[in-house]
Amino acid sequence: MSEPLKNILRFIIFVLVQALVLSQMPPLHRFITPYLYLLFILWLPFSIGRVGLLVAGFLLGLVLDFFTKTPGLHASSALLVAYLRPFLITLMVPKDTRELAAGSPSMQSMDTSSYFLFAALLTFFHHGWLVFLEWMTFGDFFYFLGKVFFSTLVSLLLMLITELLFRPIKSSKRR
Amino acid sequence: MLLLFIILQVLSISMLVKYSKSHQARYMEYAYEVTGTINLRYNNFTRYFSLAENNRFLADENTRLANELKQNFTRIDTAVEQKEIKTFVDSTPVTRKYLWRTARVINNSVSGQNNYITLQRGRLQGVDKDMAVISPAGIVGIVTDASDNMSIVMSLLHRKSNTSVALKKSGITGILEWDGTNPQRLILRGIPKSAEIKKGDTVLTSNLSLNFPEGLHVGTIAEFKKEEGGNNYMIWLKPGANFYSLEFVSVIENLFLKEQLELEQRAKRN
Repeated sequence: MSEPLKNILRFIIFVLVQALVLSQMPPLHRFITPYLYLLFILWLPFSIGRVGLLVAGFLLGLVLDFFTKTPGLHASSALLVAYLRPFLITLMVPKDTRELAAGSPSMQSMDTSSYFLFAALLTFFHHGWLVFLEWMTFGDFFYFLGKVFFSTLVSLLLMLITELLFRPIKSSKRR
Repeated sequence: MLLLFIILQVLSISMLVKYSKSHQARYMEYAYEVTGTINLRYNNFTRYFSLAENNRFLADENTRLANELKQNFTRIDTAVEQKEIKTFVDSTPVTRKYLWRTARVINNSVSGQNNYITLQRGRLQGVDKDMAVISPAGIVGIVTDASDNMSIVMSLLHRKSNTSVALKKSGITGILEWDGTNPQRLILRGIPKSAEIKKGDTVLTSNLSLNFPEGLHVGTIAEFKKEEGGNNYMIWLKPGANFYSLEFVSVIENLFLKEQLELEQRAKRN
């Protein structure tokens, strides 16, 4: 499958899974709302331009917002992730490897540990910003902290499972 | 790059702020129609899972209604002698105040701070802004926006939800809110400490509510404590409606709403 087509399909699937399953699921606990859809932004290829990345992130969030009836909330958070992604990639991936890996951020193209850190940081920023926006008018600081922390953990777990299910680590021989 | 980021960020935040103030936006109406169609398809599939429970609900509701039929009541004849019967003929015609319509829930959330429900019934089918939405087990919310074929309900699980309710026993009214934390706990404020309450007391809609008819079930008192430095109780309510599995709801239109609002507006101006 060609790269753009693959990404369009991913876009649709992630939005539907997030809107129809994860956002409708009864909360496990009042602190926890898992978010999987930002994996779409994480999986975009290295080669994507920064303008394209920002627009893709914004559109992803906006489409999800139309489902959850919070115009702007997810758009703003996904936009933040899209904006921060290139900085983290520059920080974490040595230049030569990045040129070699024509693909997208994954456990092979980056180190497993640095990929995990990359995903963790972006998820954390996403949740932090999202919950902050949700609670802008309210002042319960510990609720804010707890929700960011626990939602990030659960989202990361979910993302890790998705990662292992759909992009299994190939043995180094085949590479 | 930074510029594009800032522009889009400002755009999304201004959309968010504007929408959370008015719950209405022209562009969202088109979005409802599109997301509504997708939700409908998805719901066509998932509703099979709750058929049994819905059946039980309907049976319960039926029994309750059948119990209120006239045939079930009789007047025991205790008259000893025939007296002259004076009948007062009621000359005022009965006027309908509330009109009920059923609607199907095609999207529903409980996990956010501000939860909305989408109904598959819109302006063309008689549903419009400010109508009350109830399920057989308890009240659910208020319609905040409608497009041609879909409508959006602000659930009781919304931080701006604000409903006038009353204790069933004493009729004391208070305001029902939600703080965005636990979907099983609504917050009831404004009940004075002088009121006698205990766990399990029933709370109904009050006669002061603009949208809801009086006396609909809202929920039961789950916990309460006395507010420190205040005159009121702080009461947590277990909602009667099961927000996790809403399938069919009734939308209630107050036919006098517009008239009442206009009159009250005029009184305020004078």
